[in-house]
This record gives sequence, structure tokens and C-alpha cells, in this order.
Amino acid sequence: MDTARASLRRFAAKGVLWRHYLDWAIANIPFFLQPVLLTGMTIFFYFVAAEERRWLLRNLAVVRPGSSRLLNHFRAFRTLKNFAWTIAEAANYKVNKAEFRYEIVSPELLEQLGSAQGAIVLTAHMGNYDLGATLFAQKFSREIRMVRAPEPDRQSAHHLRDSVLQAGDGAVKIAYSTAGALVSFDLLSSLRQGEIVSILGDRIIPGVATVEGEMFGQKVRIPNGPFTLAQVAQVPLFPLFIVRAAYRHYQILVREPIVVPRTAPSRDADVAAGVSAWCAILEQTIANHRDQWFAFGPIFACHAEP
Amino acid sequence: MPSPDAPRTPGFYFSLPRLLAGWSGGTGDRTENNSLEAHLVGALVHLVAYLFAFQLLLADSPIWQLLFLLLPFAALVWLGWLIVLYLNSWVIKLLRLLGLLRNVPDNRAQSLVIGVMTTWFAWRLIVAGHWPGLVGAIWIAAVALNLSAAVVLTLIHADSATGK
Repeated sequence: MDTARASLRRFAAKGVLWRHYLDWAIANIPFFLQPVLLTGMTIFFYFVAAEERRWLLRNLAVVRPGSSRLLNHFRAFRTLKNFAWTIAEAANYKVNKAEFRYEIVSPELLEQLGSAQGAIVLTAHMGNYDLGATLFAQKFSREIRMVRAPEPDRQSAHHLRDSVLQAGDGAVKIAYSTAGALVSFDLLSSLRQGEIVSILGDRIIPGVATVEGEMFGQKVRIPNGPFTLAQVAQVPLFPLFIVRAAYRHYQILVREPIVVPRTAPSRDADVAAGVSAWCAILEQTIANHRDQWFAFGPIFACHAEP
Repeated sequence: MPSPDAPRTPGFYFSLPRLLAGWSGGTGDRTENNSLEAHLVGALVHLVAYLFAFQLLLADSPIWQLLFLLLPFAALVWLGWLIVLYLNSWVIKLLRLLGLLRNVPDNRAQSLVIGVMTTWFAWRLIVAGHWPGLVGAIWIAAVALNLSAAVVLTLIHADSATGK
């Protein structure tokens, strides 16, 4: 029974089958056939990945209050199409070492991050974050540790880890955020040794500590981990996003670092100030690149289960 | 490799635009980074295949049926492409066993097989007549110009290699 269920899981939207298919397609399909085939795949997944589509629509309703449901369906489709392009282009880089162009907004901040002795890159499920980590590791010849939500499928998790390792020539390592404290100690130790840790700060994982912030006039729950880590390790948080600007062309957006001090009477107040700064940056970035925010899960408190 | 200082014009993949770019002072280097090229050629390949399949299977159907099947047929042709690309990969493996295309990467080999297939579809559209024949003629003209440009580029490269 379990074997049958595991076999069926391969075909699910987050199953490993589609990741293998993407690798095969990128190696085999000429680049000029990819745009139409990717559009077809997006239409297919718009219906198959029903849960992800519903979350996109719910989150869009908050980001664009008063917008019609039909328009939001178009926006959600465009977001899914951007997602298809970003994973296809990341696979293209991994499989074919394909060329792509990028430009850096605020390069001085990226230099500052590149030379930092321990720092946290705070990013979001937006644009091509896997490619961004690879790019950073190559540009500064530094190792980067990426913290991600655990994949629901074990084989998908293996594939993803191998893909990131292969694309980054071993310089990008993956750590999964879990409810346990072990990963936090590991990350703290890495930061104290001067390493760079990249964390996604826009999606919560059941069992992992969260903190309340505000975006688009609504309460949000975001992971507490990056802020506490920054405070304990006394390292800055660099908000960084890699957004898709055009075909095989990306823009790296780096914002002013957020520092979480230990000065206020309560540590929570310092964390709250950091969270508030992050939420303001994230809100602005989402507003500018709405169709690249891959919000396939809950973040706004108004969507929380009662 | 990712490159921050890449030129704003990304270059071309096909011989004809590369030759024209070379003549107008560009580098003429081969690249797959041109969005317009990818979308335009891809759309034309799919249009030729779609019209061919439509003509082959639905040519004698009443107009209401044609209109009704326009979109579902596009989905079927898309699915057909996925199957054809998979079968092509086996054809390429077979050709390699026979000693052909051994030094050509998989996607380039697919490109060649798809080019041959699409040209045949385009020829069938021309032979069948009616307006889809015009799309077929555009494809064949583009292929002919591109092949001619490839010959010219080869001669230019041969000349520069021998120092003439």
C-alpha cells in the first residue's frame, strides 16, 4: 500500500517525475520550442496544481484588494508562467551551463555582503532564488548555505539538493528548516565562522517559530529564525532578491542591511523592529514584482486556520 | 556562464540573422539568448505543425465543428509534440548507433530532426493549397534563406581561417 502511494506521489505536482522530465526536456528540446511548450505546461499545471493556484489567488486578493476574481486568475497564471520560466532557466544553467545576463541594483551593497564576515541573506520565494545563490557563490568564490522548507517528497528533496550542488559546483549547500533546534545551532556555528547563510523569509513551516509582522495592511506570520539568528550571532541581514527581467535576463536587487541589535530592554522589541523593516522591504518588492512572488502557501493571518 | 557585462543586443542563433548582424557590424556569434528569435521561430514551427494536423484530420469537417475543436486541437497538438520529441530522442540514439550525429548535442540533433519534419509539413500545406499553404511557403522560404546564409557564413569563416 505504502509502495503504491509512494509511486503515485512521483506524479504529484511536487513529485520528482516532473523534475526529471524538466531535466530531460532542457537537454533535448531546442530553445526555440521551449516558449510554446512551457506555456502549455503552465496551462496544464494551472489545473493540476490546484492547491498552489488557490494560495496564489488568496494571497493576490490581499495584495490587490478590490481586484476582480477573473483578473486575479490571469495574474495567478502569469505568476505560474514566470515560475515555469525560472525553474526552466535554472535547469538550463545546470544541464547546459547556458548563458544568461544579469544586472545588479546597488552593487556596493552586494560587495558589502560578499566581503562580510558572517551574514544572513534574507530572500523570498520570488524570481530565481536558487540561481541567485549559485551566482553569488561564483561571483565571490564563497560557500553559501541555503535554508529551505523540507520538500514533501523525499526523492524531490534529493533531486533538488543534487541540482543545487551541481549548478553551484558544490559551493551551495542546502539545510532544511525543521522544528528541531539542531539546524539553528548548525547555522549559528556557520555564521560565527564567517559563512553566509541564505534564508527564505516569506513562508512559514508548521512547527517552526514565527513572528508577527504587517504587509499590505494585513497581519502576516513570518519565520522568527533569521531575526533571532542575526541577533544572537550579531550579523547583518541583507534583503536580496533575484527577479526575472526578460528572457535569460535577471536583476539582482540588494537592499540596505537590517541590523537586529540587543539594545532595547526586551530582545523581542529588537526582533520586532527587524521584522518590521523586512516586511516593508518585502511589501515594496512584491508590489513591484507581483507576478514573480511564488506565494504557494499561507502567509497572511486572515487566511489562518481557525 | 552568467555575465553582468553582456551586450544589450544578445545576438542570434540562426544563420540568416547572424549573417545580417555580421554585415551590419555585429559580432555574428551564435547564441541562444535572443527572445524574439526563440518566440518567433517556435511560434512558426508550432503553427505549421498545427495547420498540418488540422488539415490532415479535420479538413472535411463542418465549420461549426472546426470552431468547436480549435482549442482542444491545440492541446492535442501540444501533447503530440511532447510524444514526438520523446520519439525523436530515440531516433537520434538510433542514428548515433549508425555513426551519425555523434558529435552533435541532443538539443541540436532534435533541432535538425524538427527542422526536417516541419519542412515536410510545410511542403504538404503548400501542396494541399488554400491559405495555410501561405504559412508553409513562409516556412520554406525562411529555411532556404537560412541555409543559404549558413553556406555564406561557412565560406566567410573558411576565408578568414586561411587568412584571405
